[in-house]
Amino acid sequence: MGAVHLAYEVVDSQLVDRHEQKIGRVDALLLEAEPGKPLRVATIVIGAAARARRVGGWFAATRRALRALAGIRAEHESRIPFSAVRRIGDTIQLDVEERALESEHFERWLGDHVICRIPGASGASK
Amino acid sequence: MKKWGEIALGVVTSIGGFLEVGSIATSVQGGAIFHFQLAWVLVLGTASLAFLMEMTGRLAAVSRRTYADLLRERFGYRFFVVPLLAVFIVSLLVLTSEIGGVAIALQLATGIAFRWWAIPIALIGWLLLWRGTFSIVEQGTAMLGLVALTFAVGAVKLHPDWGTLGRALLPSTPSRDSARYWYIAVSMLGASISPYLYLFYSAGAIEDAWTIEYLSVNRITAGLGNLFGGGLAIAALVTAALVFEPRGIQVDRYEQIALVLATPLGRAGLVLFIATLCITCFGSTLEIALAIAYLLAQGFGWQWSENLKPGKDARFSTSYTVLIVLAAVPIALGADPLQLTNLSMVVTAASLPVTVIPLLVLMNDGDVLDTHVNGWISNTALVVIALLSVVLLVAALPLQLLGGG
Amino acid sequence: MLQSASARRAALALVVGAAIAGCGAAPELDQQLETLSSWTATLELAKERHGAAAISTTYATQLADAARSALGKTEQQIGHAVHSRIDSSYAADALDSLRGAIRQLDAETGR
Repeated sequence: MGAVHLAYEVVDSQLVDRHEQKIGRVDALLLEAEPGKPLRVATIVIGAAARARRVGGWFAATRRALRALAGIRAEHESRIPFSAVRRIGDTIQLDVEERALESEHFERWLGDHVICRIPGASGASK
Repeated sequence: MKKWGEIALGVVTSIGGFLEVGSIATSVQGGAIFHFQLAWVLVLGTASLAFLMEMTGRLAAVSRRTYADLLRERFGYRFFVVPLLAVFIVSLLVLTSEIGGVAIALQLATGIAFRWWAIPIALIGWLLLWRGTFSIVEQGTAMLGLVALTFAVGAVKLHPDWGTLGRALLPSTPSRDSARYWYIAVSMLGASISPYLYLFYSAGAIEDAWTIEYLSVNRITAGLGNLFGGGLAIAALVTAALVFEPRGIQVDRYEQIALVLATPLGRAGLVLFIATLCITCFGSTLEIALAIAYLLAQGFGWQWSENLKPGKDARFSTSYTVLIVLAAVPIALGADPLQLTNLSMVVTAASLPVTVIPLLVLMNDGDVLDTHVNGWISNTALVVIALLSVVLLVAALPLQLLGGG
Repeated sequence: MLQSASARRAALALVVGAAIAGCGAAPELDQQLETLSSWTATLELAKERHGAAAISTTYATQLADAARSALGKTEQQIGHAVHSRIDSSYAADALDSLRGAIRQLDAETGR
């Protein structure tokens, strides 16, 4: 694969799972710091909190305050090890299942509790 | 052969898709007060839109990403939130105006007040999005939208002075009432160059799986389609100039606009006007609801496609569902559709820099477009459009205060 | 010249405030007369078109109603814009023409 420019080719890229299903974008990258070992790029983060921090500290703080007011605590965030990356190209493919991801919680919740109750929501094709 | 079919379809789409509530309302208002004088604004707006559509279509065909995808990928999330918010708010306002347009058409036909129609329209629109595919939405609107050609027939039957009209295609400044002149000019530009149009167009290129082989289809669609679409907007301006201006009728309410075709075409004119307003606004309602859902899904990387069952892209289908109902609420509460339309067109004009200026960067990025980057003609046009968009941003608020009353 | 930054700010606030207040105030007489004559012309055209069977009664009635509401609004506001006897005779004439046009369209549509 050669050298990969993280900021240019990885951050904000479209992520897809094993079956080419879209599972969000790379919202942040984390370095792993273990004592006695060199730093290495270890984790892809998908989640609203990571996104909010990208906009700025004030934005993340406002978001935290609003969530506290609304009494929302759960933070549905996925942290996926870099070793799950299968391909970097137009999209980045990860060796994961969409249904198993924490960041897809809202998608699942809507699908299972709202959308599926409306006739015509499921089936093979339109 | 297939390609020519697609070109024909694309052109039809633009004709049917171009004329909607904003263009009809602002062109008729312009013609009623300033005769043919504002026709040049439609030329400018249409040419700008043709360039923007060609570019976002090329971007999608070559990079297989939509414009919204690239806004996030190339500029980062921190920048992306700005166009995201601007386009979201502006498009929601325009969506409300379109629902208002359909509601007024139904009121004119039945005599039942427009506010009662808002929610039924939203529900029927939603049902079509829920059950229909992308080509049903695109082609259905396009074919039915051909009824807008009535404006061309009306304009020709009124025997306009072609020489005067020809001269009006070049810019001129008004001799009186300049605040109102420029206010209408800005809203006409906002009506022609709406961000949802090119966001929808570039998402459509992905839905239709365009590749590099479609570049000529793209060019012809954007060029020819807008030529026809802009022509129809000019026809609407011409009919208003010949029917309203000599009688001193200014357009304060939608109810007045329907007289514009009843004069040259009689009873058929009234019926066709109502049909045109109803169909084109309804088509735009579907397209805008989808365009905002596309923007959200692509920006956040959700699964999306109008061709998937709603259960397979829950966040995407929830988005258009919520948006279309939300947009109907102000109309159901009785907000004046014409004032709302004028306001949304001016706000649209003010929002243009955040979607036009990034395009200047993307269209010259060899990593995205390879050898298909902009040539000097496209770049010159895009710089001019970008400058125009900044002027519109600066001028919009003062003109809303001075000329919008 | 304004002496300090705060004085400048106050002046700016005054100008902006006046501009906003100006928008909320009743429109100028010219503008109101224009609106009235525009509605009168609209109704005359509608009456003529209805006579030629080019527009439906449903639609013509809506135009008359819209004109009535414009008339009502102007009747309330025009007093504030009238500053002389000549002004008020112009205003009275314009209001009368619109009332007449509404009556005629109502007669045409059989109301």
